[in-house]
Amino acid sequence: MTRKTFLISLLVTLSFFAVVNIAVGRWSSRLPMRIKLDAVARNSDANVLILGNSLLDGHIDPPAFQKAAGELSEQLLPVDAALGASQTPEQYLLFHEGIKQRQVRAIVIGFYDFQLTQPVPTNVSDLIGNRALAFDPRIEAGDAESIYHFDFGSRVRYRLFRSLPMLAYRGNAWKSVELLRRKLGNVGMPEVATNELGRVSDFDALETKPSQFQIEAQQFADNPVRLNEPIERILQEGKERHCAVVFVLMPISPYHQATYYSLDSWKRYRGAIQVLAAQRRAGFIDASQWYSDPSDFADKLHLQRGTRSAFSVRLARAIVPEIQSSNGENATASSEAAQRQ
Amino acid sequence: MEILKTLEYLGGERDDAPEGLPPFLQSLAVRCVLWIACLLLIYGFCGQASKFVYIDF
Repeated sequence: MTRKTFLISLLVTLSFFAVVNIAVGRWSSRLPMRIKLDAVARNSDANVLILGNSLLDGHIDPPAFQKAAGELSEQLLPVDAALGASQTPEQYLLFHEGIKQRQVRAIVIGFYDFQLTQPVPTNVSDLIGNRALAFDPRIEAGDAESIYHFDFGSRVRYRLFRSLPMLAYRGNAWKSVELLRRKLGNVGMPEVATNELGRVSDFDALETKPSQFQIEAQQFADNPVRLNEPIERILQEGKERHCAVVFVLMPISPYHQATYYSLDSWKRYRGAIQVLAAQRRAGFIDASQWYSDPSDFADKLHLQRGTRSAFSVRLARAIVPEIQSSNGENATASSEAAQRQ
Repeated sequence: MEILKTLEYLGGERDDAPEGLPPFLQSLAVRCVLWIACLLLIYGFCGQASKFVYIDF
């Protein structure tokens, strides 16, 4: 290979990577997690921050919620910061963005199963799909590095990924390839059941075996020390800002209730969570049995989107007393602090 | 053997084009295009090895 050939090849390679980076960056500007960050930044009048995963993402109807709260003499406007396929560290990052923009009165955290307590060990390579939220330039790098506990090597990788869209948003390309693969794989095959999130059968993978579920619930219930770190941080930082924090055990399908939530170990686990929430002056709403008709659910975990208005009304009515109670406690705490000074 | 030599040439392992190789394949531009196509395919398909569940499109 001559020197000239080498230099031309190098130039072509560098140009190629530059073009792909710019193209992937532009192509990824409308990813769900970026749209979510836009929504969190845009609705500056909102004073209730809704956090959670796909069980809550898109299931809030702000006008219905606002009207129902208004009937109970509370001016509450929610912003849906719940993000599908997110874990609690990403929910913490969204929380951080949410409280930056506005004066928040309440933080609502929707969860199911062990999301409040399971540790979420994360490598940089795990941050794909909506978890790539951490690479968005609006998220402070220090916040992400801290919540994921990245060591030095991971921090270097994280900064590299963050600066190169073709690495940060590679999941976007993989998603398109996967959709193409499924399309080709389905040719001549029976129709596969899908909903607005994808293949219904994919959500079976999110449910553990009942025996494993029982062990996990039992282990936590035997020694319920604390919630997982991102949730504890949300509680602490929320309280510092005098926000009410309310946990909502999300509505879940009759199948999931019968298979998992009827177990004694789950009842003990749920009781332990309620105690931990009370110790931290957080509210707890068990909405898991609000819907008992399987047709209200899109799969074993998610409510149908058609229930969003009715769900929002019911949620607002359940949350208002929790917020009023918490605001009363905050006022008492502030008054006691003022008297001590 | 000719196929192997051709692939080695296109891959940059040998400098001399095998006999009978069409002239357009000896052009640097065409070889760049081939490499770019390979890189794009690898970039697009390497996610198949991940455990990521493709939901929330």
